[in-house]
Amino acid sequence: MTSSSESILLLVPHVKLKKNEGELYLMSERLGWMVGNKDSFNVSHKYSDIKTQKISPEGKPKVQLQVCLHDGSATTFQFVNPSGQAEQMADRDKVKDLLQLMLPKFKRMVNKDLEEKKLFLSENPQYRQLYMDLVKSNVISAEEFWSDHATQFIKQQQETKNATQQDVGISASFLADIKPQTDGCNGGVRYLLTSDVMASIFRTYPSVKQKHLKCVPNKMTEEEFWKKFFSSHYLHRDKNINDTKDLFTDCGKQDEQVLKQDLTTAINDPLLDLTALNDIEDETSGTPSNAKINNIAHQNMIRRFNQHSILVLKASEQAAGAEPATVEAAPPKRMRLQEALTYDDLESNESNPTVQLNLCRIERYLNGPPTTVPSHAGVNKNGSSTGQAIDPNTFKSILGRWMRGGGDRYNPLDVLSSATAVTVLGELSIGGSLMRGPQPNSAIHLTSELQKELKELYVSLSEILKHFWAAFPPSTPELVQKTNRMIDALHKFNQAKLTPYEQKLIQASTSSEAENILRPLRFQLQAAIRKHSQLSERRPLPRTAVSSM
Amino acid sequence: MEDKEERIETSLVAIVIDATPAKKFASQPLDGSSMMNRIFDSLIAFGNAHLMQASHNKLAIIACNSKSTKFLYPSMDGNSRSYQNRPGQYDMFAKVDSDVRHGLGELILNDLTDNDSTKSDSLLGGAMARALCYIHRVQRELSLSHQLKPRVLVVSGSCDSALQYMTFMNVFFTAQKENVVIDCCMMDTDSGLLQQGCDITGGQYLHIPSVAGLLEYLLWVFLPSPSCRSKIVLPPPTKVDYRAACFCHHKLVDIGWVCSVCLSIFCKFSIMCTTCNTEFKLNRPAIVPAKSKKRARIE
Amino acid sequence: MSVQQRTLDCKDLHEYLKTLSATVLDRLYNHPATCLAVFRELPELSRLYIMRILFVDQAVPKAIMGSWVSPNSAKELEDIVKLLTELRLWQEVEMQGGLKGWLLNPTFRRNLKGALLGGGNEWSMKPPTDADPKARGIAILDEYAMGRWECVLHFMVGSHQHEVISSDALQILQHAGLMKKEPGENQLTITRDGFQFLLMDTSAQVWYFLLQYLDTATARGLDLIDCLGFLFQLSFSTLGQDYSTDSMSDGLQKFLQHLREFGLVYQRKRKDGRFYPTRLALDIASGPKKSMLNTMAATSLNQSSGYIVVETNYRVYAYTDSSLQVALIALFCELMYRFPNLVVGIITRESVRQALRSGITADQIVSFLRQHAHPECYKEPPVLPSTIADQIKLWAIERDRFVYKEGVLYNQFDSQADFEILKNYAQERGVLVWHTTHGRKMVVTKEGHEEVRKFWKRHSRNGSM
Repeated sequence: MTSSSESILLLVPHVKLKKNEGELYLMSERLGWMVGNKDSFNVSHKYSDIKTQKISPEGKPKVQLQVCLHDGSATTFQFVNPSGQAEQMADRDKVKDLLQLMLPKFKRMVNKDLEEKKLFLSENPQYRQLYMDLVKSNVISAEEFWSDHATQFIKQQQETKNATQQDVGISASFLADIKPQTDGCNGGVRYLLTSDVMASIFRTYPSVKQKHLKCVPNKMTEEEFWKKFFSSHYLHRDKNINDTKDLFTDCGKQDEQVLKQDLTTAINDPLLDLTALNDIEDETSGTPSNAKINNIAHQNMIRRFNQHSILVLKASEQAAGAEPATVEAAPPKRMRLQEALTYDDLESNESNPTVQLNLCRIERYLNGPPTTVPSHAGVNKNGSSTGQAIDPNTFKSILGRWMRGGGDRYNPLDVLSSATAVTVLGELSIGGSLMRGPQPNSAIHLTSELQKELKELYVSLSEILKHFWAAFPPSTPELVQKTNRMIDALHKFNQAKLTPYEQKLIQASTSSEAENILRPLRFQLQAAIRKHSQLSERRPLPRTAVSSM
Repeated sequence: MEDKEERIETSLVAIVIDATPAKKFASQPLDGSSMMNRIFDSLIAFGNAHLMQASHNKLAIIACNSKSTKFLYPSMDGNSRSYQNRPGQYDMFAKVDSDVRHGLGELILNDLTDNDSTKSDSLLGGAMARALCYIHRVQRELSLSHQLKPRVLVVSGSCDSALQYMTFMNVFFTAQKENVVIDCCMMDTDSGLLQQGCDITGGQYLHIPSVAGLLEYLLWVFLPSPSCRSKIVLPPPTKVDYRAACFCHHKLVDIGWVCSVCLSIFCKFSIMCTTCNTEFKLNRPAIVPAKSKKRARIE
Repeated sequence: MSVQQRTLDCKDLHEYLKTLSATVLDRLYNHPATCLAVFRELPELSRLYIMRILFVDQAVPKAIMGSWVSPNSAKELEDIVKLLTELRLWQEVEMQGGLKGWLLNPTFRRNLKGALLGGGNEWSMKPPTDADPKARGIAILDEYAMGRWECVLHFMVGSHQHEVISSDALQILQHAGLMKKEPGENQLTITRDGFQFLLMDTSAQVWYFLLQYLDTATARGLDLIDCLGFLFQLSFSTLGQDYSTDSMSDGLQKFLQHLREFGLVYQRKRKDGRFYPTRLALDIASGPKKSMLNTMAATSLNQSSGYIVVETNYRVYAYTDSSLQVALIALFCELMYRFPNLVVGIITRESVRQALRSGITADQIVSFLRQHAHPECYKEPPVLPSTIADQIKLWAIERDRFVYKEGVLYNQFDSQADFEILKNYAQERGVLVWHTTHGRKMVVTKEGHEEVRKFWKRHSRNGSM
């Protein structure tokens, strides 16, 4: 149980748990207790499992500490240091303080994890539904769900992890932000340096860090070092490098060297023309000497800036890993030249390699379904028998008469007789033969609620099936295990979800309809189960089967 | 203070007549005349009934058979023929009557004289496309203070033609986009395609049980404008079969296989699409050896 | 004095027909054209009802007809039943088994069917057997019609540069109350109604004018039914087609001459034997409603199509050279510039109030501007900027802040008790207009005055006794 790699933060002997005396260990991630002479914990609680801690009130004879866990159970430790109650109290307070320190850290972690999951579920309704269907009904366990099924969540989590790896930069004004505190009696000024500020200084001035490493413990005290640093010219803008007395003189020199080195490594780009960046010398300027003096101050400042920029660049390169550096070195000269010479937008875009769709039977798209609608039986029989029989000449004469307006005996009002109109009126009024809707058998009508549920069933089943079939062929023990797990899940799904739904359906409609509706689902389910049983028949013991392969 | 700037509604009905089964209907006697006469007379009367509803109403009648499509009204002849009024009939209606009789008769007679014995499908899709073109033109030419409410009424008695499938579909979706309602009145046979068209565009589909009362069916179901139809009780919509036919056996399928490259539909799985010759590589290499093993065993 | 706005009462076809007696209506339906005209003016649902039972020669049970509409349109069905009954298009009959049913007016049914299919009563208007050697084109007809009609309007506006109109027309104008002769004056002057008339669109003007004409038709010895029948036939005639006068009675011949004067028909010579209907006569029955005249004319060369552009800065640009149109715009606009083909005016509060004073309503101004809007305006609705429309209406409402009522003032009461008694009495009778205890004054309506006075006399007599 105990992994040796864990560091022990605190060890308190003389701690009683349920009348047994032992030692209480506070490790980096958990707390444990063991009976005096054993080497494994009798009781061990992860910090993340602990909800709160409670201590016995002052004045009670027993000095106790209770840890309450998330699952509701609690463990009570009694401190029984033989040196007396004061020592017992001290022991307990030590534990209490440390726990106080540790618990919030882990609590945050647990909560964060939970919150993230909650957020993810609320943002992704389809996963939420899946969670509700599969986990809540115990078809699969929550851990399985998060690790296997909610792939998107895992991806998202990794992304956020990657994103948080970026370092926080240093504020540009951190030195100015160190507020001096005037000491009333001495009239002197005191600076308070925190470790954060020191770290920032080290990051900004790497040479100072080296100096600090070299000097501080042996040559001078911390305070002296920082006093010197702040009074040194190095910190000030127009530093005079020639001042040898200063401790930080060589720091400046070192910086120069580093800068030069960086310059040479950076300017291996053949296409970079630094001279192009130079200001054009103003030849007509009258006072060159004056300009030079100014320039020194300017140059110092520019140098400062450059140094800073290089540091920032380096920092960012480090953060991104070693890759960018190698990539930058990689493009050979030719490629760079090519890049500089070609312009994408001037190129003709015929180079796009497209795969041509080669349709060999286009007419298939143009033709529709064949006429399968059966024509009206009675009329058709009539039409086909006499339709062929009509003599073209008779037809012509009928048509000709019609074209001329119907002939002598034609009565325009014949187009619709009253009796026929009444018949049609009956057919088209409520209850008439044409007013009946489509037969109820032809369509299955589900309430929207049942429809929704059916949709959810499909989603969850296909999710499990997806993982089941993904494990095929089960060539490794893990995969075999997975198929077993999934088959269990499928069985559970059948019992917990499908059967109740079928009952509901049967209540809402008829059993044959319910069967029809669920047929595809059942088919999928059976296919998986059949496959699995075949597999296990062939290899009755999956483990041995795998080992024999 | 609200201002209503009403635009005058102009209702345009384009009647598309399928004249292919004319011969079939001509052979069936009906009340001392033939069924064909009754159908054509009913259609003319319906067209006039639409014109009678309001003075702005417009009418177009297009006919087709298996050879050609033809505008009957307004006739594209240009030169107006003289026509004789029946007593009491409104002038304008008499003109429609005469134009349609003349045009439709000519169309059918031309088909006869061609003496082509091979029976082929009617060009209904093409005629509907012409109707849409005409509607589009009228819409553009209409004064801005008018608002066109166009619809197409298809009257047919012939079976669906598989050859015109694409034309039909294009027509349906164009109509839907142009807000043209497609109504359909079928005699004798049912048409799955036109059912779809009516459903897509929000029109009425009616398969009438008898031809004798055609005019009453038309007046009853198809005369009211789509905006008025919500106020009245009309025959309930038929259940439309939207199933697609597979490319391999021309079977209607509920669930099938679709080629991911060319979207061809198949009722059975095959490892190669027969339309675009794409091979379906299953990205599960483990299956391939399993199959080959099996095959080997069989062999 | 009541200064309540009164709009010109322009009945539509149905309202007019409802004023006619049942026998006249039944006789009217003998003309297919009348049936067609009446039918077209019906609401869509009632037209559908008629079409459905047009071929049914028997009564249809009410219960069945009621089931044709969806339940939420039941109210509409009631209106239809009422309208069709009022117009005598159908009547309630008792069917076998005590069922109540509706039966379509047989005359109406026969003639409507006839109009649709043929086989009904003959139309009296027929093209002549021989072609006109001097046939007139549509453009000429349009020009003629507008010329004639504008002549009447010009007369009303008072710009007398055209020929004076006939005494018949004068009579009608007077009868309609569009113009009147001030006592002691020789000249006719335009009335409040006349101004409103001017701003109506042309087809509504024609319809209104004809209604007024028909009112006096019987006085002129004309048969109202013949005239109406002829008018409706005219409205369904074909533009550019000539019709024969041979079969027309003397009365109708006379009627035709009147129509000719107003530009509804064109006749070269009285004895020509043929006449041409003009655009004014077409589709006349839809008169007060929006007609197709405007829009049809817009495609022809007619100038009366949209010519007005109104900007949001109250400027009105009228692209016209017609003095009539300029005069119409001047009714409610202050004219600023005048060019050969363009008049620029501005709508001001004063100019609108001026128009309102002369009896024109704000709605009429707004609808006039809208109806005659330039075609360009239609491209970007609203055709008339809503600020202008609203402002004109606001200016009109501004004038309606006072309500005038006639009344009689009672004051100088001797005691508060007397005042209270009389006030209470008047209040009970509902004739009290206003009262104040301060100074004991009250105003009673003119109608109530007599009653209150009598009461007071009774009261004071009792009091004195």
